[in-house]
Amino acid sequence: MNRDRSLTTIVRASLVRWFLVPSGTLLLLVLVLGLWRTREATFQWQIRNATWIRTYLTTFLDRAEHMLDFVVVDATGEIDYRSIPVLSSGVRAEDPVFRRVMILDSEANLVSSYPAASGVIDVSGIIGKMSIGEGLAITAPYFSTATNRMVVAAIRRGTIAGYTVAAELNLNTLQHSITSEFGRFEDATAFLTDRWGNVIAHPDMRYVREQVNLGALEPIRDVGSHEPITGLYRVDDTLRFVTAVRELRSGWTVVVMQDALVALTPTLSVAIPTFAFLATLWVMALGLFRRRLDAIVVRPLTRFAGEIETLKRRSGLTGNPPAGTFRELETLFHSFQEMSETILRREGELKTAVEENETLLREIHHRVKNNLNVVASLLSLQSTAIDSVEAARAAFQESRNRIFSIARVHESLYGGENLSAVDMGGYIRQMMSDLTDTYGQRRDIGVRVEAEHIHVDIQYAVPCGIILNELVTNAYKHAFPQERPGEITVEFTKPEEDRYRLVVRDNGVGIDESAGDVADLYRHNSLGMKLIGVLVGQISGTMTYRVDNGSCFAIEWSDSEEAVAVGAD
Amino acid sequence: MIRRVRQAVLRALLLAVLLSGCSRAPILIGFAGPLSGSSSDLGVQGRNGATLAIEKINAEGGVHGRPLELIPRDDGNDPDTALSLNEAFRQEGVVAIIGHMTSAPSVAVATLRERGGVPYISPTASAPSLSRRDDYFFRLQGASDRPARVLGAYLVDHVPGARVAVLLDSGNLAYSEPYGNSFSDGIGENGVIVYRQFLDIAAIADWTAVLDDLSTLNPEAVLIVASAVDTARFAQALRNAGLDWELLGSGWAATGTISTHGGRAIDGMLVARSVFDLMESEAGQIFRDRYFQRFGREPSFAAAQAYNSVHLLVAALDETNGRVQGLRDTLRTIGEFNTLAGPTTIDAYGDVETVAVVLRYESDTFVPVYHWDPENE
Repeated sequence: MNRDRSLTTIVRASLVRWFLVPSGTLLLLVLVLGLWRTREATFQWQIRNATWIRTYLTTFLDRAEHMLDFVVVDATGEIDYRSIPVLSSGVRAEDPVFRRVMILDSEANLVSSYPAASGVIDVSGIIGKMSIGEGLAITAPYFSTATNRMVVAAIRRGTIAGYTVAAELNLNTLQHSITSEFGRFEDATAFLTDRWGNVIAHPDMRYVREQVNLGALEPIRDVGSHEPITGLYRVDDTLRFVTAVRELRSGWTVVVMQDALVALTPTLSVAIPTFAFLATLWVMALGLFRRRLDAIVVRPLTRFAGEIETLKRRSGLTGNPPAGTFRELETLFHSFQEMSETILRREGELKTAVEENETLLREIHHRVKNNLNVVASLLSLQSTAIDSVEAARAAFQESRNRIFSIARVHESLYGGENLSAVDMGGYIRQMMSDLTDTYGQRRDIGVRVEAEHIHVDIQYAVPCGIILNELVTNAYKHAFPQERPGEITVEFTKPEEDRYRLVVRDNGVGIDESAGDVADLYRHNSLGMKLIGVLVGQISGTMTYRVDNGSCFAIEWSDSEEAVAVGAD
Repeated sequence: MIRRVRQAVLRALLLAVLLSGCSRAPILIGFAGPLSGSSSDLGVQGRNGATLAIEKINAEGGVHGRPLELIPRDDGNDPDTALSLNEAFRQEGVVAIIGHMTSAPSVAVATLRERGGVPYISPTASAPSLSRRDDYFFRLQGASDRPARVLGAYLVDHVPGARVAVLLDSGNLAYSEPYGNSFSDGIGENGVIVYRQFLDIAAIADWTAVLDDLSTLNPEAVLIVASAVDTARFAQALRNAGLDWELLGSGWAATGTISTHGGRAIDGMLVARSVFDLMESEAGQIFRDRYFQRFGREPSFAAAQAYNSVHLLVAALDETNGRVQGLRDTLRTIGEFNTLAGPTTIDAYGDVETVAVVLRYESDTFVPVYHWDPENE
């Protein structure tokens, strides 16, 4: 489908293509069929009449032969008086067969004639060249000076040796008979030609007088012995139905012709007004249909399309659906209206989400930088405690665990749904699993985690993770000396809104209480404890320590307090 | 893009249809000759010969893709009819006219000033008065004066001191009068013209009175300058009257029709013509066969000359792109062109070279008995 075309164009083209053209073609086919049937009927009529004329012609020639058989001449070639009644009948009857009858000698000279005439004969040369058998011989048409017209002679050898009987056939009788038969059909013309198309008898005497040749017409030229030939041909600048049949004795062709337009007029006179009426009706119906279609479909849809255009300008569909249209279009309009609103709303949300993501991305980069600073600080702190190869190895192991704790935070972030907050429940369990694996040789130490799925911002999660790592590592290292079995418990709770609490407890030997308060723990104990102190300070939290059947560390902070990154800007 | 291409194709198709409609418009050619009456043998044969040529040319594609269409008209061998036909042809838009076939109408139109620039090409008109005229009239038949003179000379060569009666058809004076005069010149002092009369020969039904008059003069030969039919009628009357005078005729009568109408009565008749071997060539034989197949009768020299006339016209139309403009000048300068007998030259006056052959009717055909040699003139 061409997308450049408007709905109006498509509707109009479709109406033409799918309605007007098929219906017009159908009408045309009906018209052609009607004309074809008329044509066939015309040919049948022509064949019937041409065959009748052929029969008449054969009868006419039989009559001529029969009359010539009665001609009797005496020894000098004079016509015997007994022949006179027959000849008189043949020449002078109302429908004469002959114009004149001549008796010729062996040199084809005229001996006598009926009616009596001067000794001039026009067929002398023809007879001299003709091979005349027992039957009737027919000459080619020729101009007779005796009658000053074109004639055809019928020739029969006389019964008396040496004499020949020749008679000019009265072609007028033939033509009158044919014309009277066809007089009822004014549009039809019937005439005779010889086998080459030279006109012998024709209602328009000019054709005979001027010896017109119609041999160029296929039916006249090609007609065989029995079967008639029909066709539509251009004759005298007019299309005509033509039928030709051949008369065997004379070799002449009977031709029946009709002006095609006249012959088809009865059909056309019905078909054309009907065609015109139906065509007008169709065009009017199409016009009305198109107008209605324009009103209820095309124009509303065009307006609708214009409304949709406004979506491009972010203003949404407005107003009510076009009036006077149909239910489906109204539904469509409302759906589009809702869709447009949804789209616009979603677009706003997406925009906000994109902005948030951009901020988040910026924040993540910031956090990564901070975390790397943390790592750098950790390594810096660690370096101060290295004084032997074993210490260095241990320092690297501790640093690895600390960095790993940070990595777990990021893992929780990209594995979770929220990129800015860590599910501390999952994180702590994962951390504990890692640490259990690290200290896998201490299978006598149990681990218990009590933490809900509480989400904590990344800026608190990283310090919290490192603190957890340090406390649990300390517990593994120092709480259960000499293969003493025990249990490490980690709890993470949210005692109140915006406040978080991490508790790491063991039932080991506990820390020497002489260590004093927590600040002293930070100051005098290991690097890990110093680090915990720094991180608790970073999240603006507090840590309490107590000995109760082991050690118990509790860190609390609030996310309303701004965390301070180590080495952060 | 597709739409544009589609529109361009539709426009091209429409243009092609329109142009094809234009290019197929036929080139109209008039034909004028006696198609009825006693002179119709020339006219009908001429029309048939022209028809055959046009059918052949159309079958070969016409002239520059346009078919030719012949419009035949009967001039009745009448000068007045010829003049009115000239106007009718002009109105019908013919580019040229093949005709007239006889001299009287030919002379009438040759002297016509208002002919609308439409040239005539006559297959058979041979009146001497048509020679060497700067007009629109072209012809393929040489002037009849020389054959007439040769016929007279031939007669007195064989019948020294012959007493000759001359019957001239007043219906075609333009031909018969100069023919009679030239014949007399040919006889000169070697014979005697005992009878010379202009007669309305076509109107004579009974020749008894004429023959009675002639019998009193006891001629040894009689020349009749008339159509084939009328000459044949006279011949029959002559032989039926038991008169065995040497019978002489004109080229006008030397068609196939005379044998049809004359029968044995014209045996031995002498005629002289300016052409003879029109259909002796291979092309002529083919023409003869095609003519018989088409019309059921033998072609005469009139048919052959009409056939040649159409080919001369088509050669000129080829150069004028089928238009009448410049056609006359092209015909004047065309020079040599092909006929059934071979190449022939037509000069700027529209005349062809004149020859003369004396023919005798024997065994149902004309046989040449003497060829005029210009060196013996």
